[in-house]
Amino acid sequence: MPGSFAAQSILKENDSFYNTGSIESRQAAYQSYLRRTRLDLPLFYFSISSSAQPDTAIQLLQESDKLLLQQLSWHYGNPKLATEYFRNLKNLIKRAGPQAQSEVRVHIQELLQTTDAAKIKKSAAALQQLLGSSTESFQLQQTAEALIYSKQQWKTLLPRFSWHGGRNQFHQWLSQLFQGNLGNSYRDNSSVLDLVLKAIGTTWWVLLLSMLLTTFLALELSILFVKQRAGKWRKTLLPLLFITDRIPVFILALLLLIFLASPDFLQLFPVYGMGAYQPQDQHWLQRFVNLFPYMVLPVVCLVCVNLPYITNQFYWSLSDVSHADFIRTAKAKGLSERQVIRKHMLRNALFPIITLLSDFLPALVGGVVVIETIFAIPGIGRLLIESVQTRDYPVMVGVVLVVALFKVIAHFVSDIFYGLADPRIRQKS
Amino acid sequence: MKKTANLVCFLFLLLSFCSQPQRRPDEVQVRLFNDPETLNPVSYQNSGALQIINLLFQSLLTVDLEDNRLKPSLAEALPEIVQGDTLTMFTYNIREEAEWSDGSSVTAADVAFTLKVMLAPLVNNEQIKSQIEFVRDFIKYESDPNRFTFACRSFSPEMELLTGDFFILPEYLFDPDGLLQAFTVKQLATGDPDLENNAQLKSFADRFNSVDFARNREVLKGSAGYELENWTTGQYVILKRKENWWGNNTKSDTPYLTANPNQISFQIIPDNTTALLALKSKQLDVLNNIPATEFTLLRKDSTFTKDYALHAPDSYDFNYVALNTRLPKFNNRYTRQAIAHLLDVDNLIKVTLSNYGTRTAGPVPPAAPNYYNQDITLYPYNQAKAADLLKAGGWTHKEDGWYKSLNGKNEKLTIEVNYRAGNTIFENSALIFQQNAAKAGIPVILQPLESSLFRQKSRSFEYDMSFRSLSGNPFIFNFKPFFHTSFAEEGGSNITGFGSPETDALLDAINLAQNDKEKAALLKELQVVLHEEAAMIPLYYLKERIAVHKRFGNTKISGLKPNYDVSAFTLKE
Repeated sequence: MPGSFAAQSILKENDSFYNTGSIESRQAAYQSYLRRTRLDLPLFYFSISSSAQPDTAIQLLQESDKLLLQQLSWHYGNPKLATEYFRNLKNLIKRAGPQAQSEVRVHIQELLQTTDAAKIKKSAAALQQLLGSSTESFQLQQTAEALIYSKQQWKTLLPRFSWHGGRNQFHQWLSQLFQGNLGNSYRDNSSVLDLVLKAIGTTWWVLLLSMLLTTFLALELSILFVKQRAGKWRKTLLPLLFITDRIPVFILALLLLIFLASPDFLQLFPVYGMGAYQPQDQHWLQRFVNLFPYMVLPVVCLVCVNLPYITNQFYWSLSDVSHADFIRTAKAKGLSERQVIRKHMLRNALFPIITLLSDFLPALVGGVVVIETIFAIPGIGRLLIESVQTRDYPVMVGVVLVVALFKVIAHFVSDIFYGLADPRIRQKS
Repeated sequence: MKKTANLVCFLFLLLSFCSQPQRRPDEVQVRLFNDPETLNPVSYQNSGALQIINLLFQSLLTVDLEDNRLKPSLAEALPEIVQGDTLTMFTYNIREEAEWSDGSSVTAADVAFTLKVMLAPLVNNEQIKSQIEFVRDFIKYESDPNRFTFACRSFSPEMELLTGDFFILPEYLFDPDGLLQAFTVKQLATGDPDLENNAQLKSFADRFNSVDFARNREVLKGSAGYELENWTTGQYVILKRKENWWGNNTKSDTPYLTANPNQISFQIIPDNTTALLALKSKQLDVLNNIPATEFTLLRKDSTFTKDYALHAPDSYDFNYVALNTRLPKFNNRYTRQAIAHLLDVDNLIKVTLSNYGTRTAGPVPPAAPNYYNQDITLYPYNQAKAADLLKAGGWTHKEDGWYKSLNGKNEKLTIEVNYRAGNTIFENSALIFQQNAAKAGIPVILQPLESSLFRQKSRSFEYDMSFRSLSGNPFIFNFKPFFHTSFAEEGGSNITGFGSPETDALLDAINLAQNDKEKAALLKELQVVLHEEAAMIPLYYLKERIAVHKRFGNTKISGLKPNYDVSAFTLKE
């Protein structure tokens, strides 16, 4: 991902009619920011790079300069000469100054963009001619030729191992993590853990409700479909579910909003947010009652999005079991259809259902991103999106870590449920 | 069955009653596009935060949106400026009445403290530091605790604005232990690297960089008329009016220092459609940046216009096309003019903006009639003329396009058009240009770029042609960063590579112009040169699209951001 938080905010483009700070002072501020936040440290304990990688490239200021020097060193396999050539080129640019004639500028621009030997030779020679006696152009041509002459591209293939020791960003992050600290957000310096917990707190009810409702509906629907006399229901509802499945989430969310929360049609629910501001503290139950109308549309939307797939899976897993011998036996015993399905079929069809549900919660976090944006709910999905947009890496890592943790817990819980569903598993282990 | 039907009916009725939160008439609800993230007056990140901090803290100068003019806010008057050989002195007096939340006066010491915070190392001030890079020293006067002088390096026209355009911080609240008192502004302005090891600075920075100074309502108390009541991340920010705010009882006539609504509530709604629905359900009182097509529909909606007033003031946001004159294919003026003739600007305004744009001849906004050059004829869309100009530029037309010998090679004229990905206005504009250019026999490739990459490419001048925007203002026109050759080096802001010694002299003269008349004449001259050179092809100035509830008066709708002054809103009888 290009860019970093600091580069975006400190080195931002001057897009206004007056100058708020020169490029140099911004670069200096950027450097001091990196030092202050220790983002100038190496990323990991060690790094393996090409032996053609220039050392000085890291300290260089400009992104484009860094890129050019890197490309030159890699192309010619000689970081030392490449750096020297690059420095001479910069000297020449300084010497030529902004008032240089347009031909000189064209060649300089060419040199700033190319690693091609023929082009470098041509432009360096042309500059030597144009600028005549200047030592800078002479030096540039000399180093350019030396660089081209000593081309050792194979050096790029040789690895170079460098050891950075404990002074690296990962080590810092990890040692903080072991102390229960996920780091601090780049944006307001608040603790990442707080941010994540707060975000989960807001969407927690939405996620839980939609998950319970989806599971319940999916189970009931699939049971309904399995029933022998439910052909009519199956024929009408299944295609309807398929159609819902084909509607993109954001369109579904907007449709719900337009039909159920707009003065032009039915205005049954609030349009956005998670409750209005209440000056006094509230009991959690009171708060839940207040929040309930806000949650209806997001929950309905999430249910509509997930229901088709899950119902379909449940239905197939049930109907697979329905052909088993023990079901025939159960029917032969004279059990009612209800008892056959709920007691015999369901328990045996539970395995794929548990697997599916264990993946449900982490997947929901991904699915709520769109819904949180449209309904303006500050949940975990939006936190992730905003941290990506602003390059707030600690928050990004924190959210991913928490979602991963959820996944691990979900798998653990599903293992327990496997055991409950089938005693044979418990006994085997 | 009947029971269920009754129950459903009852439920619907109940829901529709509790569907919308209750509103207080004296509260203004404003939409924010995203969370302010931090309300630290030194390190804020986005325009929403700036809008809120403006209601909590004050700077020395302010812009009155009523007439878009710079006026003194905490300062008593605009600064007295004395230009010396090497230094320029800006002298201010702070209003006697001005006071902080605890009733203590705002003094020059607070201004000195603010400067120190902005300049100190280790403090999270990197993005604002460079704004006052020209300040060399701060002079206090023993005789008058409210009077002070900024000693600044050389002079440029924006300095007057910049010396008065940062939030003044309360020393008593931000540095109760007086950790910064041991340092002088001069000492910090020199940027001595040893200061980074100073224990006092370190402990101040640790405190100031903490989350408290980003969101704690007990700390974020300034001299302006509002206080932070509640901020629920991602949902809303509520501000409450101060009782007996000093700004209401100033000695001089200051109708622009206002704190009228009792409560201002910023609602964070990222999605445009949702925000529009919220507006229609009367959950918002102010909404700006309404999409052009929606705005046209709203204008026709009589039930909506009964409650809301719609405004479309001329903004100072400007869209243009930049051509990279450093490239051999574009270093000829006729070629660039040909491209200008292929940009069907009127059509662009009509299609991409539903006509909410005003064509312009140059970067000076037509909304500033004193400086805008009305005598320039805008480039019309004209294929034949474009072909003629290409021929004049040395291109020859062959069966599959235009060819010219560049650096000894016969090259075909192709253009790659860049723009920020996700900007639909530019995307459609680029598509229209692509079609027009195809008719003229020029193949155009569209290349939307992610914003960091876009910035990187334009910084290193790796582009052919690019759709871009600029935000301007009606009072300062320093075009040096865009057109002066000293900014044309790698990484500089003169991305088109425009410039010659003559235009450099002209740009310097504009900045040094002593009076308005001279300045206007020089600016008009610059516009003519820019128009002829066509390195920056101006497209249009945008019109803002704002809706404000009709129960409010004195809304001060303006083309300048944030386009309205929410603190001035009054309830109509």
